[in-house]
Amino acid sequence: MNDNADHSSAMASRLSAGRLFFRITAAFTLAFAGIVLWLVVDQHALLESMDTLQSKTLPSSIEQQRLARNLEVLRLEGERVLEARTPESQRQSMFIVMLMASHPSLLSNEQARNLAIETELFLARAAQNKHIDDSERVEWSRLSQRLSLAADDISVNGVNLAQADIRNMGEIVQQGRHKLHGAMLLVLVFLVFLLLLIRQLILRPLQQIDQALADLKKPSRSVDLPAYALRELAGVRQAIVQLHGMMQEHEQARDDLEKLASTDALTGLNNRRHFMLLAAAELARGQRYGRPISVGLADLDHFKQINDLYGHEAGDMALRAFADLVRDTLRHSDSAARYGGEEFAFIFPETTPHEAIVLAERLRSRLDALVIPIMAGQYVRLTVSFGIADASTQTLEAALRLADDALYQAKRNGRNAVILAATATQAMLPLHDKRDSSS
Amino acid sequence: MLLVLAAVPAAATGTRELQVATLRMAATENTPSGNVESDAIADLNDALTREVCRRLAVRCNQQPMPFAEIIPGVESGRFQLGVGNVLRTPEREERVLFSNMLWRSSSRLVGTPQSIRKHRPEGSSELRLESLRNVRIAVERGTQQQRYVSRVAADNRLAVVETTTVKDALQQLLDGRADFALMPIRSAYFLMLQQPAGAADFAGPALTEQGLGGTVHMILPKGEQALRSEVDAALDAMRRDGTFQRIIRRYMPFLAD
Repeated sequence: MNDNADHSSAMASRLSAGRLFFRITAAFTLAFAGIVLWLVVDQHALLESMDTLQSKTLPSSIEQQRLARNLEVLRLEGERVLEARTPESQRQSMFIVMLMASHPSLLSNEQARNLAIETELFLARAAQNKHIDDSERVEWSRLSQRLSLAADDISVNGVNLAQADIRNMGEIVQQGRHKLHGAMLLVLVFLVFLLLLIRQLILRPLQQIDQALADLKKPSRSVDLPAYALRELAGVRQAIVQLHGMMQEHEQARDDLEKLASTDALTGLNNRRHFMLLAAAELARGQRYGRPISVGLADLDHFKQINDLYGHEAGDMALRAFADLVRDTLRHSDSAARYGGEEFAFIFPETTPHEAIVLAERLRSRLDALVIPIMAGQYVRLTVSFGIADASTQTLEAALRLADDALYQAKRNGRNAVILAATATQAMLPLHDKRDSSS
Repeated sequence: MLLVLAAVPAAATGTRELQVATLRMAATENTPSGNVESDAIADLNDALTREVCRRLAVRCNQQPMPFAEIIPGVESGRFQLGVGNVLRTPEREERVLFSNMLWRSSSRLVGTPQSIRKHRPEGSSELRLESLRNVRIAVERGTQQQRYVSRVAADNRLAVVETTTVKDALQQLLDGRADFALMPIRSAYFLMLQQPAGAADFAGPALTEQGLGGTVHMILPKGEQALRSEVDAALDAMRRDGTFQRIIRRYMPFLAD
């Protein structure tokens, strides 16, 4: 219950992929929108500056240029008034002077207006005289220079007017460029960050999950997945761990069932059915490759007496003790089975009948020396009779039949002996200790 | 064949036709513009009008008339374009549309040497319109000059001598039926050039206040916004390619716009 609660709490504390990417996207969108808004403000300021330049500054600048030009015309016509060769040409120039002096562009500028009025009055006075004297020429020279200077000043002012606006626009454009670069950098950083995040939070976990799913087929391999930040992937990880656990349980159950189907419950040795399958397979393999193979049958001597004297429980304990001895004595490659009651079957791959006799004799002698505790303070001793047969050239059934015949022969010979089947060499091994606990 | 072609009306050939009211300088209606009297200001207006019409690809029927008839004629829609040195004023903006600026203008008193000497204030060399009393001032009917003088006439004890054309106003002065004439400066320039030396002279400063100065435009009826845009575009193009400046220089020795 607590684990589940902790797990739920851990899952709840994790971030879902949708929410994470929504937050990232929202943060990026906000940042990007901020920069775009910033750019829009600049754009607006630029448009305003352009509009000011177009609608106010440039017309003003042009006006200044016109005013400068009109002042220059005034000066030139003044020269013509003074230099005129005929009264008619002097009169015409004087009219132009008056016209220029009356021009609204000059009248709208105080400096130009005063200068124009002064020029007109001077020239009108000079034109009335037949002869222009030196003092008038000097005065005109000064007036002419003032007109030129005023024209230059006004012209320069006009140019400067536009330059100030253009400089301002240039600064705005420069700022806009920096901001645009910032926006591009932000997009780049965001993309890199997003790719890294996708790799770290999604792609790598997916690869690990893929590997873990592939490893599920491999037996007894534990699931090795780290904890994931994203809730969805953490859920998948949890499901894989659970799936792995269930598969392990199923594997164990299948193994248990297999074991139940193939082993004898009392002794833990193979049961007869499974033994027959193993023996048939070993026999086929050995005969295919012409390898030696032997079978054996064993029967505990006077076992019925133990059951009768001490009860079935003691008999069971004696059977288990014999099975343990079999496991301790035989090689890993040998197989033993409880063939029925107190009878046991053996198959010895890669083993000639004589080698099998040695193995059987070792088992017989060790049992003969074994004291088996059956209940508090009570012990029994057992002997076993063996029949060994060569199985390399005949069927399993035939070999077992021969081994059974040999076993029967051992029983008839007095038990506690190992007998090779009649078709082969009969080995009557000496009985080292003829004591029979059951007798 | 040529006769047949000439008889085809403009509408039938698809050519637009504009009725244009232009300024007549001379008093006699039969006197055509550009005759021996050389009404240079009228010729200048005529040349500008022709160039605008050419650029608009329209046939313009120019009809010279006194200034007083130009604004009402355009306002009523009888004429689609008016070219007559019309100053832009708020009151006129209520009645007609104005094109882009042609040039600037101011007003100035013109007097004979005798009248100037007679009415020059004692101890001052400057004769000023607002200081004049008990004098007759000739003005062209319908102009800003007439409007101003008429407004101050009673207070300043001025006699307003209204004339049909600006040339008539000068003639009134020369004939002794007026002491001064208040005229647009450009018109005065062209008219005085035609007079013998010493016949008339400018008096007092140039005037731009009280509606006597400002910018001069072509005018159009109120509903002709599209045509105004076309005219403005044509004038802008004329300035950009120098045609406007060349036309001005053909009739005046300087631009002074």
